[in-house]
Amino acid sequence: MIPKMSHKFLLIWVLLGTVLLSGCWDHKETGDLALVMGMGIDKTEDDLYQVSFQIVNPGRVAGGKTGQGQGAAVTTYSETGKTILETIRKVTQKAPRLLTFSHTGVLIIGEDLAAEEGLKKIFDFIERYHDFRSTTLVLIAKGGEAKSILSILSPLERIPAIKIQEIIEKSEQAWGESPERNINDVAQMLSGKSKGLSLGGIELVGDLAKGQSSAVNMQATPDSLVKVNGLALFKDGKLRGWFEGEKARGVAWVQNNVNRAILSANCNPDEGAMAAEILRTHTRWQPKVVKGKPKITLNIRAEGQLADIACAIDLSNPDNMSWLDKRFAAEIKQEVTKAVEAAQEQNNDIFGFGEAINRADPKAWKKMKKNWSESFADMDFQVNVKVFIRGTGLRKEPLILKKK
Amino acid sequence: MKRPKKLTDKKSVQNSTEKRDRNLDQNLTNNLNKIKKELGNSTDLVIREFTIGNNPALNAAIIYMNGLVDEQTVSEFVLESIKIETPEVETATKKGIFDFIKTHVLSVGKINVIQDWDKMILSLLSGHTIVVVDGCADIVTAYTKGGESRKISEPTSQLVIRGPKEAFTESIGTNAALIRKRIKSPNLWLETIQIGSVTQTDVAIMYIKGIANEKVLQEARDRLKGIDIDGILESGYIEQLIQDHPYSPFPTIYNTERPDGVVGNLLEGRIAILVDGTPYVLVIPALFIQFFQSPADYYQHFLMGSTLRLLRMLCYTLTLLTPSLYIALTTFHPQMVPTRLLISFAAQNEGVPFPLFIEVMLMEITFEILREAGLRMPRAVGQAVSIVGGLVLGQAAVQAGLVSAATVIVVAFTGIASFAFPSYNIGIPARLLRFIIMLLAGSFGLYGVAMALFILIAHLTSLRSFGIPYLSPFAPFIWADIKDTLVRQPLWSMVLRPRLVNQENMRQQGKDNKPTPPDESKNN
Amino acid sequence: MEKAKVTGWQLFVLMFLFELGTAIVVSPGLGAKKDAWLAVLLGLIAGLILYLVYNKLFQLYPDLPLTGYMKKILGKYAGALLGMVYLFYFLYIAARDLRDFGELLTTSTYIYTPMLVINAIMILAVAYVLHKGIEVLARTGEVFFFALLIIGVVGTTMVLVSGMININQLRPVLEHGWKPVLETAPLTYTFPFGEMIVFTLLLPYLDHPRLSLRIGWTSMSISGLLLIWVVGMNIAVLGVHVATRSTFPLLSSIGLINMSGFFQRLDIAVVMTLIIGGFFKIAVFFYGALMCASELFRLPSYKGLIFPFCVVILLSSMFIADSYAHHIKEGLVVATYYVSLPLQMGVPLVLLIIALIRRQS
Repeated sequence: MIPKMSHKFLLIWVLLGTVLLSGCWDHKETGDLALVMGMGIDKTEDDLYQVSFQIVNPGRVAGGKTGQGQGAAVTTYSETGKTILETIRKVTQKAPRLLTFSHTGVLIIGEDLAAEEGLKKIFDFIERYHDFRSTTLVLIAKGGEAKSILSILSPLERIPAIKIQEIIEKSEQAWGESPERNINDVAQMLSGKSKGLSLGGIELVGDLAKGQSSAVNMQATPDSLVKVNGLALFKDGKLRGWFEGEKARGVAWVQNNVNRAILSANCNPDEGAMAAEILRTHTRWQPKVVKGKPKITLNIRAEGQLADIACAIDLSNPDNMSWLDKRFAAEIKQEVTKAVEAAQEQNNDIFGFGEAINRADPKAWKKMKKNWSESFADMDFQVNVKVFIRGTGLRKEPLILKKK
Repeated sequence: MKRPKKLTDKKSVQNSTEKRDRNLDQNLTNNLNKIKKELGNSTDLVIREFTIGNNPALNAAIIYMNGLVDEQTVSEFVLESIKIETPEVETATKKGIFDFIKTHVLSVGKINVIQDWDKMILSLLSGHTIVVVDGCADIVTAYTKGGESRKISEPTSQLVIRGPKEAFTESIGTNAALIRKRIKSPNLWLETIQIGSVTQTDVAIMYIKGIANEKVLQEARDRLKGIDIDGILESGYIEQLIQDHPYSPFPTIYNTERPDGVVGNLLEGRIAILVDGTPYVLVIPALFIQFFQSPADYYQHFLMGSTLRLLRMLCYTLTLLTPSLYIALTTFHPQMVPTRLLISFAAQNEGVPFPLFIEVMLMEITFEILREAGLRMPRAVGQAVSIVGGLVLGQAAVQAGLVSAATVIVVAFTGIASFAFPSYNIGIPARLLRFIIMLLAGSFGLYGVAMALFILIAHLTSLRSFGIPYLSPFAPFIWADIKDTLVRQPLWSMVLRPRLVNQENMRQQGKDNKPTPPDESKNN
Repeated sequence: MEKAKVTGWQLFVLMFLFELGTAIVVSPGLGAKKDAWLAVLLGLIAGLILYLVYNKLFQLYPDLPLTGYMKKILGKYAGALLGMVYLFYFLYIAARDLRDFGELLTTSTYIYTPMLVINAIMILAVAYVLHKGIEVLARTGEVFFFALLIIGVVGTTMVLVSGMININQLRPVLEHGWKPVLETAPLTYTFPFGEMIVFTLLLPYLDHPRLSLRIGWTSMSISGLLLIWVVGMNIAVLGVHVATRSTFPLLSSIGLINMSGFFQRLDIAVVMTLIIGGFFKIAVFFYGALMCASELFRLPSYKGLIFPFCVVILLSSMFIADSYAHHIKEGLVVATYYVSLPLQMGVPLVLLIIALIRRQS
């Protein structure tokens, strides 16, 4: 009885001892954290990384007794170093807190860095480091530095990085042009052999110096803004060019990335315009190899509602509705064709057609694999688009239509 | 499981046998003097001497303890009857007189004839009136128990919205009657023993013969007999002396002040232990899940009953884990907290002088102090304590920046959740272990919490209540008994009694109890 | 042997938790690239067949654990010697699993905490439960089975709902032919399916011995299918390249869940899964080692051995390898071909053949 009990107590004491004496290595108070909301990476002229960290000042964001002060809600620190970890360490000398990346919403990469060095080197660190979450969005700073984009303060949303995140999410839903790509997507595409990669672009509009002051929050029409724009095309991890507007959306159509979109078309070349709100889309690929030559058929199906029409068409006539469907389908087809052709011109399989061919015909793929870029450039493709305009909104006939 | 036999058992048995040899004297005066001496001339001892008959007049006396007896019964049915009936009686043989009193005179329901001195003292002290006749070594005790006792009132600690409003009282007789009133079956058996070498408290085992598990019953009898203590003041004494795992903070014996709760348990084959002097009746064997079942669950719609049970289990988990999870998530795993919430936490934490762990610990201790103070204070002041403590202290502490508002919310929430159990004593382990888990959370984050849960669950699964695994029917998993645990199935679908508690006589209702609307076609 | 009985359901649960244990987090079979799930399936089939052997041995000697009938079949000394080998084997695997566990925690969330502390707490918790006996271990298993079930269902739903699964990532099947699959199959057999060998020590506790085959097979099949699902899901979510490069693929794929910005960074759920699975895996191996030792040294109770074994497992988990790479290499090559395969497959087969021949003559 007695030795048994002491055994038990020994166990309890050892347990308690480890708990109490060991302290807490991974313990960190929330007040000691520097939450990095956005991170930007550029390359300096002397071949060092310049990393910028947009760090939130919690007291200025959240309510509470300290009140929403007049100061900026974020501070952007910037440092240079040979590796990214080195810059993180250097920033700790400036900021009195522990940099934390678990809530980083956006990672912005400077255009120069993306074009010259490519993404592979920096992504190794980003993937490996435990603190990053792989859902962080990745964007390319179009025509500028990542640092300047992170330095701009924003109206409406006090934390600019969160604002960028929201813009991307909203615009993917409403416009369908800028893709929502996170670290994991990028890592997947970088590790695949045949795949190209496309990332959203972000640019600075207006004056950098003015945007850095919190005075920007007091203007009705801000002097400077950041804007999500364009699609950066990568090959072998290096930036090769940009798509904008229709082409960018064409890529989204191909990749089945369009959730919702506003589609506009002309009724007739000389008549007014009309627009439809696309609510549901789906793109299906049919890859195959015909006589040793790869071919892909893209079947796109979109459903939507008429939103705006400025031409005299009797919408109560079903034939006219079918005509509308075809008009919009032609529009989509044009966007897609432009995008694919442009990609082919650049010998850059940003869509991942190669993987699709591999799935369809692994044997043929093995032969094509080596010079896929060339095969891609002259591969056949066919686009079939079906659009269904289901409704005409709250009114039937357009105002412009004169009833007899 | 087996309790070691008490070493002192034999000795005390010997002691009592020595005493038992003492019988009553034939001489009345001797007897009276002896009683007076034995009770140390206590002033509440009432001895009324009188004479019986006239040929010759025989000395007799009635003895009772003031306040323990019902004075009216004593005067009407004992004293007056004797006085009215006996004056003309033949007093030739003393034995005859005695029999006459016993059979014709005393108009009290329950009487006993005893010779044993100790038994007489015990009867006297239990509120019986004793009739002693000179020259007779026998005495008659008349059951005149009464005196002041609390009336049956509403339950104070186990409230229900719908259900009987009666609660047990301090009198074991009343309590037994409250149960028997609800089970009119000859199979409801009651065994009473006296426990406590000084207090001689009545302790009764109540069960339904044929439903109760005989093994558990025998085990209960043995354990109760094994108790050797001077006094039993409350059923808590019994509980602590017969439970399986005295070191465990978890109660392995259920207690209730609701007769309907006891009846429900008896019908499931459990055994009730009634203790005189307390309104709390013990029920064995007890399962962990039983402490989350309220009798009211059965009185209302099964969907509501089930939801409330799930809610209570949730509250239990929250009481146990909320502060620890708060500490672990914010200080160890901030990545799991949604961004805006984390920023809000960080903003609140700015300027708070303590580490979060210390902060939560302080607030939790403060809460426990408030709760205890509120309980002990006179009712009028209690209100003030809670206002000052809850509102003023909390508000001021947050405004002064000593604690963050989030911490106050977490602690208050935990506090409220800890009041949601239908059984008070199941909350005790949660309140205590909460602090240990907080300590682990403060040192190791969620890993610490997970390890604490492992040990906690292993501990719970190792517990037994009178041989029944405490965590059943979950571990060991018994599908048939799940019907009345986290959820309560419709009453008509619970055809069998819980399997663990009893093995025979399983059926508790017919199979076709499900109410159905009348068949229209037949009527036509 | 303790005086204890384990119900069929409890044994099922223990086997289930044991099989998923650490395997679900480290995802075996990724050597076969996109066809990892196929390799796991082959491993499962091999495991099911070998379980027949274990079961047959148990049916021949229903009251004896592995070490017991080894002595009967091979004779006292040879049996005892082999028993020693198994004792060390179980201790070694327990230490390996503890190491796996420590590695995951220290690389994912507890960066600054020394692995020794993490492992020490784990092994102490295991020791506490084993101190209470096999029945308590089995019942604890029942409770945590439900916990794991809830985590699993929630996690799977989230993965499915958030639309991260891209089945195309798994195609084409057999891209590189059968060769890599067959090469990986021995690894997926020894880990986790062949590890069922330790249950030969627990089977005598079963309350209905005739159900042993059914319980073992259903448990292995269900956990095996779950493992296939998880391995497949990892590749479908992460893509084969990222999945094979990941230290802990499940951690990465669950980490991608992001539902309306609120439910995210659920990787802690993966850590919880590992804590639960790892706990039971270590506990069962630990128990196996205790059984071996108490059988060999004829001890009436194994309780005195818990603490020394604790220290042995803890220390060897620390010294077993210098780095994660060492640890994995050792596990994949040395342990598989030279230790696990002979002990999981060779010895039981030989035992069964000898036992059957003896029965015949």
